[in-house]
Amino acid sequence: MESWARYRNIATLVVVVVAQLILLGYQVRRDDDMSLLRAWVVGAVTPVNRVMHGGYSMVASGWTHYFWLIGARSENETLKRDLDRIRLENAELRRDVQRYQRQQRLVSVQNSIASQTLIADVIGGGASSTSKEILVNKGRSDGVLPGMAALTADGIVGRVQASYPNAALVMLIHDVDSGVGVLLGGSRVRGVLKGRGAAECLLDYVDHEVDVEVGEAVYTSGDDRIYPKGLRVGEVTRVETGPDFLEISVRPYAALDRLDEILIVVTGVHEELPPPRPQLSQSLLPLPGSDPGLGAEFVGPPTQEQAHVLRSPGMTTEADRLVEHYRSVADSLGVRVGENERYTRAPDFNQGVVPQPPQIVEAPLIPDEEPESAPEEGQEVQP
Amino acid sequence: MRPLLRNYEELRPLNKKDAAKLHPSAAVALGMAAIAFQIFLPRIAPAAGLLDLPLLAVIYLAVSRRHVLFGMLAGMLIGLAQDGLTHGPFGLFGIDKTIIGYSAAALSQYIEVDFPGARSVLCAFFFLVHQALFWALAGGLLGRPIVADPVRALMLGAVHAGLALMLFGAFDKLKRKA
Repeated sequence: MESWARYRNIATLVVVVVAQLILLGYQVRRDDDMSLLRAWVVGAVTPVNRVMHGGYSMVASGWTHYFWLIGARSENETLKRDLDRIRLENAELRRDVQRYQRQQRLVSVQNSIASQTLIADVIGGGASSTSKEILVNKGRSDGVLPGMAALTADGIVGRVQASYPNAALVMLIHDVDSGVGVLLGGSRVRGVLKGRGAAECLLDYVDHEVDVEVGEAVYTSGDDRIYPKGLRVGEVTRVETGPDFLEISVRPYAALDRLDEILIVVTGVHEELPPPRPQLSQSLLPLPGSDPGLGAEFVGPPTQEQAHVLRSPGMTTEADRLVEHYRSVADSLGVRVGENERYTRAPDFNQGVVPQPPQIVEAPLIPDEEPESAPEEGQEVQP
Repeated sequence: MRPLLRNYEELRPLNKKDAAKLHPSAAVALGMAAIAFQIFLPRIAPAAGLLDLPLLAVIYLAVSRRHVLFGMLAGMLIGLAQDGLTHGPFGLFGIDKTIIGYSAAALSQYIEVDFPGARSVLCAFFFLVHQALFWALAGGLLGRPIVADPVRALMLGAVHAGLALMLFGAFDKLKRKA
């Protein structure tokens, strides 16, 4: 009895295990799924599982509709911060790209012009609203001296007014004290470009007779010994008649109000100017009452068609009448002008012309001077 | 500090005293919860399918009671319930967990299982035993195509040991104070 008590536990284990082995073998042998037993187990576990599922659904729903929204809000704020940061970075990158493009243009200009230049960054504007000046970061230590020209890829900007060890003051061309020797690209007429403190400058000392067109390009003339000849300055925007000279407004090509980098001409070399505007031929002026463009085409001897046009009734100049007279005389004599053979008689163009006596004109009396002798009757007076 | 290993005769009165701590209803709820979570957790976390929560429940119940018949019974019931929720024959997990429950309870009479590290090591060990029994029964007895992967079993044993460290501490809250 005592031995049974000692081995009771292990014996029970063996019995239980063997019973389950028999159950296992029975299922395998009979191919029985024990569906009834499974139904009990599932029936016992399912309510618990359903409660768990309901609890989970509630928790998940609460998480999704409340806690997750808190996360979404913080995530939204994070995304907004990221967006702001990315916008700033984007703006900085755009500025860098624009700066790079400007510098590329400046380098391109540097390589294309003969003058020796150096690039300077604009680090400040004028000290007052009336002065049109800028401060650049290159100075005497970089070789920048007063009187040097400053320009951009678009055109000239101004000249160095003062040079300091590490900076220089550049007076812009639209400053009221600025003057630039320029010439008109079309006519090559020279003048002085004066600043007016406004966006546009005044081109002075151009005579009234000069034909100036709106839109005409203006270049530096090199006469002022500051700006090398041939640099682009601006274009004519308005031409008016002044008391002494034409008043020509010129808008500078360079954007003087938003300069970032400029070129300072250390050693100036004159540039080639573009060809001047082609002038109309003056060999044959257009006839009154005829096609205005006709004269420009009649350069050289007239063709037969053009001669016919010349013989038209609209020709009323003295020379035309004389030609018509010669032609009618030649027609009456049966000769053709310019086609007679040699050693033949030339047509008498004085035929039918009645000689007129010389016309006597009385000279006006000069009241202050007493005439020594009055002109005799019939005396010819030369005008 | 109490020694890890105790004399079997000295442990018997202590075991009875400890056994009264876990209420039978709590033991039943623990077993059922283990089964339910074993079904439910893979739905929301597929990796949880690698865990054997009923095995942890069997080990905990067995070492808590330190009674071999109780451990054996708990193992059998939980194992058979697990069989009922699988497509395999009844008895496959039943036999495994019966042996595990019995062994864990028997071993707990010689090892101080209140020590967390000991319970963790015990869990890892019994997980490997459970795997070996399963391979033997399913592969050897039933002829199922079982791929025995000892490395994977060792890793999962470590995972179960870590999990037991956390869960058993929480389960101890269910014990009544003597």
